[in-house]
Amino acid sequence: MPPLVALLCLLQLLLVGCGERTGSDPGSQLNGSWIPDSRAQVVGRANPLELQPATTLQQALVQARTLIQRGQLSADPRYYGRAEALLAPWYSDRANPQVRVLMATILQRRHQFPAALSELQQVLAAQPDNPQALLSQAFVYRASGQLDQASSSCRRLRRLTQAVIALACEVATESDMSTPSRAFKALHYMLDHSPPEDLMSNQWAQRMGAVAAQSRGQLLAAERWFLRALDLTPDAPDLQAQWLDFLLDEARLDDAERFLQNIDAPATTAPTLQHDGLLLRRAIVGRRLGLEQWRADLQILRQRQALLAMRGEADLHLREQARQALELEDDPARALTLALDNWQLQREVADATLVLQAALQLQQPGAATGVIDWLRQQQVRHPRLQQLAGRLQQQQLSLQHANVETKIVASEIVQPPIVEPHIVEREERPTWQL
Amino acid sequence: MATLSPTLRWCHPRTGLLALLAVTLLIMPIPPALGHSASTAYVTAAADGRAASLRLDLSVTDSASLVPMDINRDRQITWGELLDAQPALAAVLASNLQLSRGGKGCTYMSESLAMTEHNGEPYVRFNLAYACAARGALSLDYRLLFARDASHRALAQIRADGDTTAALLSPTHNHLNNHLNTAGNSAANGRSTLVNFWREGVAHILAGYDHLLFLLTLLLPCVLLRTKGGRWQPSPGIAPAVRQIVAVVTAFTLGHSITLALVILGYIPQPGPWIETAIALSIVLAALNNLTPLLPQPGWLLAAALGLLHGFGFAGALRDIGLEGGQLLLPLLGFNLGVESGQLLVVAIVLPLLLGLRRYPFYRTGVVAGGSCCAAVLGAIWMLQTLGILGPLAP
Repeated sequence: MPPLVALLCLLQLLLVGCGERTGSDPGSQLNGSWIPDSRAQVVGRANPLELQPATTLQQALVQARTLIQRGQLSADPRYYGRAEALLAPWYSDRANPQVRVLMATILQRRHQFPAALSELQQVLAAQPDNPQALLSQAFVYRASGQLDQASSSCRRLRRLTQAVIALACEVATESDMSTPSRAFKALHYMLDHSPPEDLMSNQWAQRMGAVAAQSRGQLLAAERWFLRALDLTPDAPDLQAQWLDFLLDEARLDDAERFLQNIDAPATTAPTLQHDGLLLRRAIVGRRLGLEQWRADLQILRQRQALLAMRGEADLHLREQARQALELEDDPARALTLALDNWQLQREVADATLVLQAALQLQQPGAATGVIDWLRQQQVRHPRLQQLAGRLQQQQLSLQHANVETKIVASEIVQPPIVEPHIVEREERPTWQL
Repeated sequence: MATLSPTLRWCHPRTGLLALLAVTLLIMPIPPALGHSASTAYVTAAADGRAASLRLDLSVTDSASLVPMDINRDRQITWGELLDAQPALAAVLASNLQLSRGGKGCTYMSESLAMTEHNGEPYVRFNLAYACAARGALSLDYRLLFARDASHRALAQIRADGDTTAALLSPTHNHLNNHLNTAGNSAANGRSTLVNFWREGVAHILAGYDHLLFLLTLLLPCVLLRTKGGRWQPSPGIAPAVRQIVAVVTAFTLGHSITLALVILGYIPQPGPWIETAIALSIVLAALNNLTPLLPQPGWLLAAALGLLHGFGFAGALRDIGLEGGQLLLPLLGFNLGVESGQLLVVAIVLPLLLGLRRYPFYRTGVVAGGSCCAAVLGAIWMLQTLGILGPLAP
């Protein structure tokens, strides 16, 4: 020990005890605090929505609905927590159907799909024509991969609410996502000529339309509707993240980067940093563009995941964690595990894509069997998914081929001849029709 | 698509009206996505001698939801706005964060504010100072924000006497005590959970005057015999007196063991605060019964019946140590054995005295009658205190 260090240590020993406070203390990394220099310094954001205490069920319902809508717009889970606390006194086995529907929305947000579904089914048993319950049910079914059930819920909506809402619901739950159906064409017309009047429904319909248009190859319409939705609600992080995914899918990295800068520009505390979904996209964009910031972003994402795990909510992160492992951590094995765990909870196109991508990278086509079965059972047609499934089939075939040639039974040991997937794909389009 | 026709929509007699409502009522189901971090606070409580400190890190957004702070409504919180709200914040914190040591509430002294950061989110750091009892388990009751936001959580840590306990606090689990961990940590040092909970049991019976007083009230007349007129006379031999004492202590033990086990193992719910009142009442009744026969004889039956009641009290004490759910058998056994050991210690000290004194008339008038009167008065005072009719008496 150099004498100076020893002296300092001795001094410290006299004061607090040498070497006593080491990194093992979970609080030590949090010990840094500071006093701002001036009173005028902005230290954070307020989320003001002060409500009078709700004394009647009607007041509670109105307030909870407001809070949930605020939560949807801001993506701040505090609003859902407040809505839940507000509804708690009114929530029981014999609760009012409207309370149940709102509770189902909160449960869905927490990824508790079976619980949400059970609430909605109880409402629909009593009120088969409850439009809110039908619409919510459609999206719970959609999130759990039951597209046939989802679209039948949407069809029951037809005569119960605005046509454009029912249409957007139908289009969002179609299993054939590759070609413009009649419903899609009708929605296309209505979004451009008679969109829903209220802001939240309009934003939602434009957004559903945009996602549907993208997979059906109608990129101009997709972009137009995304931008219109972004104009309607400029500060909705979930929507911004979806727009960034569109830009990433279309490899418009510079547009994505500029968009990210614009979100962060006006505010003192960068909203990107507050929203895990935006942070993930920023890191992905940053990495693809070679901006060093992405490593710091990844660090914060990992800290937030640790926090969610401590809160017992690790499930909420599975889809994003799988994407992170795949796109930021170059760890396809971990990505596959996470994507398969996530597949047990969520079964949307994004979730299926992650399983297929990870299995493909790992050259384990067998791991994606569950997703391939789902594509077949639900008759899902989606260009990207079909392309990935086709490549996996190629991989499977070449692996079998290699096995036969080398006559080695233990397939794990065999390193298959690496077929460049892109070349295969260009030579012959995937023929695997699902 | 026939259903696209607007006329079809509105002409439907029943659903037409529903549709009109639905336009304004619908909540659009957005696919679940990853959003902001949920509301999470970080709490660290530490005690050193009589001084205790509580460090609370609460996000700026959550702090601003506790009291009106964003006076200019620009949705931004400045350091000045935070400082101006400090007194109001301190009042909210002091009433929602309760620290106690050795079962006694700590006194809130002062607070100071600083800024910090968790996972990229700005947090306010509240350094709160408390004055506590010098020894005993440090425990935290945390009720901040739960009533407002059901998704709020606190990552809490308690440090006292070289032990650290940590837990995630939620609306259903908002209490943290460092005593259980003392047992856990010590087990690693070679002492078993059994021994540690045995000590807890001994400490509880010796420090809990209510149970001791009740036991003494039952023991005092054990060396006497009641005549038909209800008067006391000395027990003729030592053997019957000892038998009577053994019967009473065993019956009381059986009674409270049964309820203690049933509550801790979850077969019956922990009763509300009325149980404290009932225990105090049991002391009054036992004491009055010594003065004039009120309750059924023999004494051991009374001891067993009231023992059932006291079991609930022990269960409350065990719960306060933090014991609920999980591996219960050893702690439960240890605690119960501790209670019995404490009782036997008391009996061992008191028995020779009682046997020696029983023949003196002073024992009947002074000790039994006088002592029972005192016990009845004390029991009555406790009873009124638990009912909130009487405040705490000055020491």
